[in-house]
Order: sequence, then C-alpha cells, then structure tokens
Amino acid sequence: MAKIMVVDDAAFMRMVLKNILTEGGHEIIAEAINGEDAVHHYLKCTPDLVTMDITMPEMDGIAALKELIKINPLVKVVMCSAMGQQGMVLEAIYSGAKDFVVKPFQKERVLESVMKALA
Amino acid sequence: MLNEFEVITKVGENVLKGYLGLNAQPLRQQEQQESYIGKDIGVIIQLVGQMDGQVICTMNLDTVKSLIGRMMGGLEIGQLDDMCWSALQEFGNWIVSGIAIELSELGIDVNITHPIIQEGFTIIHSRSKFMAVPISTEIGTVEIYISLEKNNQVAV
Repeated sequence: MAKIMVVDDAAFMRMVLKNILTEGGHEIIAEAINGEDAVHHYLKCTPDLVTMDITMPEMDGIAALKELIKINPLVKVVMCSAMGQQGMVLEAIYSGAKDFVVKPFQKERVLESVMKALA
Repeated sequence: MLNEFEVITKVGENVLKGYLGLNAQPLRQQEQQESYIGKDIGVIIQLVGQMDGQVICTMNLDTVKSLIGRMMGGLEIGQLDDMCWSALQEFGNWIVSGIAIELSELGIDVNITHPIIQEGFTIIHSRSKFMAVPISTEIGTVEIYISLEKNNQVAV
C-alpha cells in the first residue's frame, strides 16, 4: 500500500482516481488542483507517489514534475493526461516521470502503472 | 491529408464505444455551416497551434445525464451538480485531446484550452465553417462540431 497524492484540476478525475487507487489498496493523503498546489502539498506530506495531470491552470503538470524533481530527485510521478501525443509523453518521461497513462483509462492500467512506478 | 470526418468518428468511437461501452454509430456528416445551434448542453473546447479552431460536443439533457451516469459507474443522475459538470467537461476533454493526438500523428501540433459548458439555446457564429458529425448511441445522439483552419502564424 502506498501513500499517494492525486493532482488534477478536474474534480471528476480526482474522484475517479481516488476510487481506483483506494480500491487498489492505496491511501490518498493529498489532492491538488494545479501544479503550484501540488508542490505546496508535496512539501507538507511527502507522498510515496504522485499522479499528475498535465493541462492545468497556474502551473501545468510538466512544470510541477520538474519542480518536484528539484525537491526530491527520486520522486515517483505517474502522469495521467488526455494529451497523449507522442511528444508530450516523451517530454514527461525525459523530465523524470515514471510512466504515462492516457485518459480515459481503465482501472487496471492505472494500478499496473502505479505498481510499476513503486517497484 | 486531414479528413476531419474520419478523425472525429475514430475518436468518438474510441471514447463512446471503447471506454463507455456504448453502441456508437457515426451518422452521415451534416452540411457545413458557419453557425452552430446548440442542443440543451454542449462542451466547447478550442484548439490552438498549427491549426486553430473549436470543437463542440452537444447533446440533449437526457443524453447528458445518461452519459455522466455511465462515466460514474452506472449512477442514476437526477439534478446536474458540480461533479456532473466536471464529468461533462472531462468528456469533452477526452474527445478533443483524442482529436489533438490524431492531428499530431499527421504532423500537426495543437494544444487545447480548458472546456467551457454551454447550457440552453445558443447560436455560435464562426468565420470558418463547422462540420457536424452526429454519433448515434442507445442513450441518444452526441453531435460533434468541428471548425478548424490552418494558422498561418505558425509553421506547419
């Protein structure tokens, strides 16, 4: 079981991810609605893993990922975004994300990705 | 060569059939028009980049409720609340992001804006024509309107 922070500006997607991850035996210890909020919460609660949307207001998910890596180079971030163009996926992986899950996603794909990132 | 009808039907089927398990059947594309007349509810998202334009997914209220119910794992939806609006915005996001992915495979780089919900009777006029692609499902018809034009400010 991992302590996870869910970052997404859409309340619906936070709810979906929370349901999937808690059913998978994980604990959601924080939620953030944009990149800035994610960095703020990460410093307070240091989760084992972060799920990160990309397109968000204020600070997007790629910028937030880079900030989190500055804070902790070993941070485990799984990107969860509908913007799954090859260039976007590669940018996220080169920036340090452990995996990239394209929305809309199936429960099994999310849990598999989280387990892979935690391994 | 961009074929908007093929892109929309592929993406629409991926989301409606592949993810939501609906029996989605694209209908014949409607004649292009310079204005869009909204059904009960629509999600409007802009595409910006090497091509600019709008995509609007529009449905009647009963279809919206059934669609959101499916997205929420089979819930019966009565009144539309903030979570329902968020789900509907996300539905639009999936469709338009899917279109952006298809465009990227044709070498056209676009980004998308945050979704806006249109509620009630609306007419939107555009300088470029909208193509309308209705997709029939057992919960009602989802109409996807797209208006795209090359952005001459950005190299393709």
